[in-house]
Amino acid sequence: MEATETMGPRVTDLVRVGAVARLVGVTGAQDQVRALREAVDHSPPEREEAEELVADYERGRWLPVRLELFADLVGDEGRVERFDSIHVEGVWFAVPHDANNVRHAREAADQRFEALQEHLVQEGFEIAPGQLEALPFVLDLDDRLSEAIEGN
Amino acid sequence: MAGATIGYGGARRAVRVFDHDPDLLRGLEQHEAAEALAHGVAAVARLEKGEWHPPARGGGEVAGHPGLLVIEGQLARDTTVALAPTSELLGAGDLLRPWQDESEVASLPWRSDWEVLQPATLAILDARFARAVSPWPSIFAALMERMTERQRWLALQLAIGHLRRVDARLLVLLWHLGDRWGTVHADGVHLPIRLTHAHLARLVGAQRPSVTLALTQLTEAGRLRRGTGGTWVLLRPAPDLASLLRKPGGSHRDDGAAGD
Repeated sequence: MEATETMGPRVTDLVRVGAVARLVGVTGAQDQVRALREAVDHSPPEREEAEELVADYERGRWLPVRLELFADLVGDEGRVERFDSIHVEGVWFAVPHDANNVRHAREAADQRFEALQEHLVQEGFEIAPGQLEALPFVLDLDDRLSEAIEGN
Repeated sequence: MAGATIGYGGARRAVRVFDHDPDLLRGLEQHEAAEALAHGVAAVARLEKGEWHPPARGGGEVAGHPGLLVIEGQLARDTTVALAPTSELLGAGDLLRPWQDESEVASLPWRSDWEVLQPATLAILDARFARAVSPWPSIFAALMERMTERQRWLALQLAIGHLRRVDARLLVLLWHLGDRWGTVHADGVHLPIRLTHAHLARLVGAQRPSVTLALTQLTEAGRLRRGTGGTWVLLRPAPDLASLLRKPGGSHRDDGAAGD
């Protein structure tokens, strides 16, 4: 007869939280520009601001970015596991890369940490609300984004 | 940005101040209020959109002025330390003393800049006006109250800037602005204020793209929508504090399908 195992919450250590920033492709960029236009009202001064931002994007001063949030945790077997199911679309990085991009990434991530925490709880980890946000935030740029943002 | 206004701009006309701001008379008996209304006449300055370089204290032009009362329009006073600007939004009912510039004697450099966001009319409450309404001290008490309110609004704005999430900061700020300048309708509070995302970012201490992102999420979550001509409609019910700490659009997990 097969033994029945009762699974309690997985007690774990959070190693770090952060996001991998990826440059979106052409289709994604078009979607993101369209979303930017839709996010603003069609009367001044917002319309003018949006037109200026789109023009800056076309000149290569802004890059559309997607954030993939992650949490690295030490699991049952002592190995570090990465959970990165939560994405944030609609992020824009200025060129060249600077501290404001990092602040923006952190602010965008703050909007979705709760979803990541809920996902980890669903996975059986004992992570309290607010626990992820309390950790230092790590931002990694993927190779394409690094090249695009530093190469200008 | 549009052009710049120096001092009080061009031609001035006179108005009865309390016709535009009757709340300043609320401490008076009816007959006193009628008398104060007739005596409380002030010149007005009309400021067009763009930078504003107000009169300086040193010029003597402003000696004895209680201040400038905003009758209509919107202005922003940006304060910059190093490269980080923050902003105070000013509108009808606010009392300004723009010639007071403490940055001139500061140990560490900072500066303030004025911008007219929507064409503004300011009543110049000068020494002559002060003498004319001096029989009614409650008017001065009401003006002091306006200054105190500005301090309180700024303290509130500081507190808003400490909220972790940008969407929560924006929502509290917009409801706060709705309390000041909004009108109540069946669907919510209509806020006739036109701000760029960059302005909103300076008001809540966030990055401009984060404001765009958060406004999109708040709109999708049914917290607000755009009215006609760039105004905001804050949809009821007003958020409670607990909900501000939760996500605006409901919890869902991304499946990785979005994006590229």
